[in-house]
Amino acid sequence: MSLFLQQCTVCETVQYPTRDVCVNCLAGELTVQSQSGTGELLSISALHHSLDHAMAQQLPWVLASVKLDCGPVVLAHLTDTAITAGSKVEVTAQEQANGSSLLQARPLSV
Amino acid sequence: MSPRAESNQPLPYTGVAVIAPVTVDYVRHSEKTAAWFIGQALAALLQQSGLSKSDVDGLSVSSFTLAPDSAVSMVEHFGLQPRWLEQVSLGGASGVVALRRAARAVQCGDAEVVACIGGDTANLQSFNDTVANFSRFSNEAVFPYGAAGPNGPFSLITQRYMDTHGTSREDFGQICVAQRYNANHYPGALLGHKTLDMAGYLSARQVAGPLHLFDCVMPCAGADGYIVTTIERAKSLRVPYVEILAADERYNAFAEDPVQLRGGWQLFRDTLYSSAGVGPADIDCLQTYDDYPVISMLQLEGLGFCEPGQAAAFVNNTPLTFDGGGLPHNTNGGQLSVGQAGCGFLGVVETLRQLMGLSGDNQVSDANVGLVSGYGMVNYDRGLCSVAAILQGVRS
Repeated sequence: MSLFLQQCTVCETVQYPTRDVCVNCLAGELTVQSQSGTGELLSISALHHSLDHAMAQQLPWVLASVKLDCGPVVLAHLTDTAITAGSKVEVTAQEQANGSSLLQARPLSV
Repeated sequence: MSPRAESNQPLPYTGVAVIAPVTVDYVRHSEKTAAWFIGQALAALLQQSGLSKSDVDGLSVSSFTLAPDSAVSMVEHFGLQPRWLEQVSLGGASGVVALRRAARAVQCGDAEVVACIGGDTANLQSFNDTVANFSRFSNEAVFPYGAAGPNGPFSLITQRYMDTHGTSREDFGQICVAQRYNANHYPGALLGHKTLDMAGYLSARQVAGPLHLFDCVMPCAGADGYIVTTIERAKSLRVPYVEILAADERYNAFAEDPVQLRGGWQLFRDTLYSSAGVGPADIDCLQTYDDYPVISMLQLEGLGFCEPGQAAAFVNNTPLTFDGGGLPHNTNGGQLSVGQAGCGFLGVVETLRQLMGLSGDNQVSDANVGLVSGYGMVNYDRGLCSVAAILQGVRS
């Protein structure tokens, strides 16, 4: 599975969150390209409080940050919590009930 | 003065005086608006300084809850006719940055009496509204992930810092417990009526990852302010004043670090101290921006009070209380015990009071040189602003 992320047409820098210009060369022409979603789990935190009513029903909600091999750092939802920082993970975009998509990280099956 | 500074060395802040530290009492919730708190701060500045409203020819405003209004709206709201106007929207760095901007304006004669104010209102909805629409990056890539506000990113930073340096919750607790002791001696602290010991700190309810209740600030309503003017004007007003020895700022420092384990202070701290003619050992009181105790540790490290990764050892071996004889730190309790309102002005105003000898029970004895540090604006996953100023009291 792959992850679709913004990429600069000029210098090929992959960036996230989405921007209107390239974070590296300031080019104004960006595309969305399929990237490998693999990366390293940087940090994990179980949230015990949420301002969102729906998420508050799912506490603890586990938040993670991941350094993607293609470059950017992303925040993601961690559903398989039997994992430690430093592990290899794969990040994918999961469609939610409201039509938006949310990044999820899971242990990378070798 | 010479038209150009030596390379990499900002011009000194010669001739500038900071006077009239004021606070509009913090309250947990208020029906009053941010404009009310900021306006009350302006009135307090005039009362404290002896100046009249028509003397104020410069205004700087910082607030998270003033929208849709801004600094220029306040000019008409308050009936001012200034010749210099600034809006500093840099979160917890605003107090120090406003000081820096106003000082340069006064030095160059663009203004002579600049009122600098940070103020906010707070109600059940204001915090949620601010957090749910904080920035484009946060809207897309942070808030959907748990809707935890700043506790999300800062729990990740705190955990990574702990994993990297072996820091424990007890180490963070040293900061929080000492600050609460300071707050117990400061009537304006919203949590000052309660004591906090290590057992209470450790057993408090979990909020996010390693962050428990007493690691998190309480947003509140209130305002803080000061006036920047010339030394001549300060002397003619016969009020205590403080001089700026040095100040600096950096944004988006070490952007390539995957997690923020250092801020930008180390990029300017050598110049900061050499400009001021002092070193960390000469600092009589230190105010760090304490949105979370890990960030206070980053400031202790970045500002040279200890080596990177060594803040835990430092706080375990150095008394942080106002009367402990070590390094008085967040001497009125910091935001963690006083409350969070007004964009990082708390530390500046507390420094001014300490250096003027105007503090009450929490007065640091012989406080002559103070350092105040600011941080803020988590546009995505890290605070983008790192600022600091070294101030010196002038005792008659």
